[in-house]
Amino acid sequence: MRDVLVARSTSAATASPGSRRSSTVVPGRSSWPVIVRLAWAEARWLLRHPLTLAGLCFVGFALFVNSNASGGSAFTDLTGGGAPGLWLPPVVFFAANLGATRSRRDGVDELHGAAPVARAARTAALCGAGLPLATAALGLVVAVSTYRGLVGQPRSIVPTPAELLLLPLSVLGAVTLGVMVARWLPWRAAPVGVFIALVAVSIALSDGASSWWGSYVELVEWKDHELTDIRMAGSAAWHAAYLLGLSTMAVIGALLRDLSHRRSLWCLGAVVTLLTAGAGWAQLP
Amino acid sequence: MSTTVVVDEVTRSFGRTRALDGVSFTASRGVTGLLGPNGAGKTTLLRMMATVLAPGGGRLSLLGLDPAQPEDRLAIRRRLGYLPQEPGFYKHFTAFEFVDYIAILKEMTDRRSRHDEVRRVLALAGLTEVSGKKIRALSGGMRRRVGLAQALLGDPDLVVLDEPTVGLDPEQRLRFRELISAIGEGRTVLLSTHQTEDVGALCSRIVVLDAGRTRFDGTPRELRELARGRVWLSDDRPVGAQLSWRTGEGRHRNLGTPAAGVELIDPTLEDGYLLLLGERALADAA
Repeated sequence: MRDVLVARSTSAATASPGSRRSSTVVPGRSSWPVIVRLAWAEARWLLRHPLTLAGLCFVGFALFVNSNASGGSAFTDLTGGGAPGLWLPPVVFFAANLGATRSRRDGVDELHGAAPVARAARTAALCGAGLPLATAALGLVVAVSTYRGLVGQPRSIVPTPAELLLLPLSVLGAVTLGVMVARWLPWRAAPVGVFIALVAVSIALSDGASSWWGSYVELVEWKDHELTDIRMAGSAAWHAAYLLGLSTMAVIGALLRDLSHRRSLWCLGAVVTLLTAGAGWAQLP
Repeated sequence: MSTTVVVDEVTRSFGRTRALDGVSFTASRGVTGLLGPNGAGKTTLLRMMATVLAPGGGRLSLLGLDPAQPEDRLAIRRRLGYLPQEPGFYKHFTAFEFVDYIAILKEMTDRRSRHDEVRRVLALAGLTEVSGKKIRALSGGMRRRVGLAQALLGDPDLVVLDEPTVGLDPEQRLRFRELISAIGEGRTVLLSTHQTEDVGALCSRIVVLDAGRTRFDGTPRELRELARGRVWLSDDRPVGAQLSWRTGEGRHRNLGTPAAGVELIDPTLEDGYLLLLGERALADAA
């Protein structure tokens, strides 16, 4: 083999920091405009995902078909005993998880890694993408409620604002949970495992008052076309606060994976967890 | 001419494998080519230039900044264009949507000016006609051009291209050469490739890596001159040649130490490269 042959430049050691666009280098510049733009891009992807579209169409159809039901509270009538409404968050959870893991699946992480936008900002944007979707869900329940009003439902079953927010907040929570699972458990089977675990927890909590920690569904029992039993739910407003708390916890959980300075985030997470637990307790019947 | 890239005794190991073992070179404005056999450390080095991989040791300076410092790293990324060896794509996106998404990641928040910039780089890469097509419907060469387009977003000062011409047909390679040479007129381009013809056509400077070390750092002419007097033609396969092959004209082109009185010919860049790296490069060539 020949010896190493290096024809070295004589100006090698004189790196120049000067550049025509060095003025753009502003460390610590706010990332919010980028996060908002990215969140819109992610929301477009999420809203066009077949799982989301199928979920919205099914739930919308089921709610309109169910619009003549009665016998329970506004929430029960709005969600048909909870069943149609419960379809949307799970499918959105899987869609959001797929969205958050697609850079890895499609091999785009290398490109992302060389971009100035940090991974934590992308995580925040992925969580933020749940807001437009939650707004779409809100539009859906408002449309159903309006339709029900137009077809002559009694005023007593007009839902309160808190009841209207329950499905959108569930959707927001599903998106943020999907992102958090993608960040901590970035494996293909992980969301299925988490979903099964959540269902198992809900079943385990299904007896007595503790059931409201798992889900907020009125149970209505019919016998010979007569309503025989209604298990009334607790406070819809506190349940909405509980769902919002869970969503915020999921956002913080997802960000904890990406940030290096995590002490303040841990503190915030602890406060939010306490507030969420309080809201969860307050929602009980 | 100011130096924009300084690589000084840079090392990097993956487990027990020493991918880079004290690489040193510098690069300035223009196109600098990285040549080397498989496993020479080219991709590892370019990933460091793209700030996605940290050196294990040594000193790296990009655009006069230290990528080991978070603030400097951010500043470098704002002035960097990068095409990885195997760029992934969101295949359900259109070419426009994908480049637009990367533009957002490059902090281009104003929608109108960002879209203008996306259209500009797509036009540069010759993709205007297919910008509305899904990436999954594009050919490998077209996708490569989408990758190049995103690397040009924001008119970066440092462009890092890892084997940009791999898998392209001759016409596409020529288009790429034209584009890359135009890019290199105003900024620093680092180009890794196996293709000595690309390097010869594009680069003002060549760095040859082998087994994680710098084996050559100079101009294409200097690399070519390494083979001066060691390339000859003969009617039969000679005994002493390191490498010999029969050309289309029916004669043998030979590399190595010639016997006296042979018909010496002008060497090519590839001859210099093959003779520089010896057995490893010859094994690659074979």
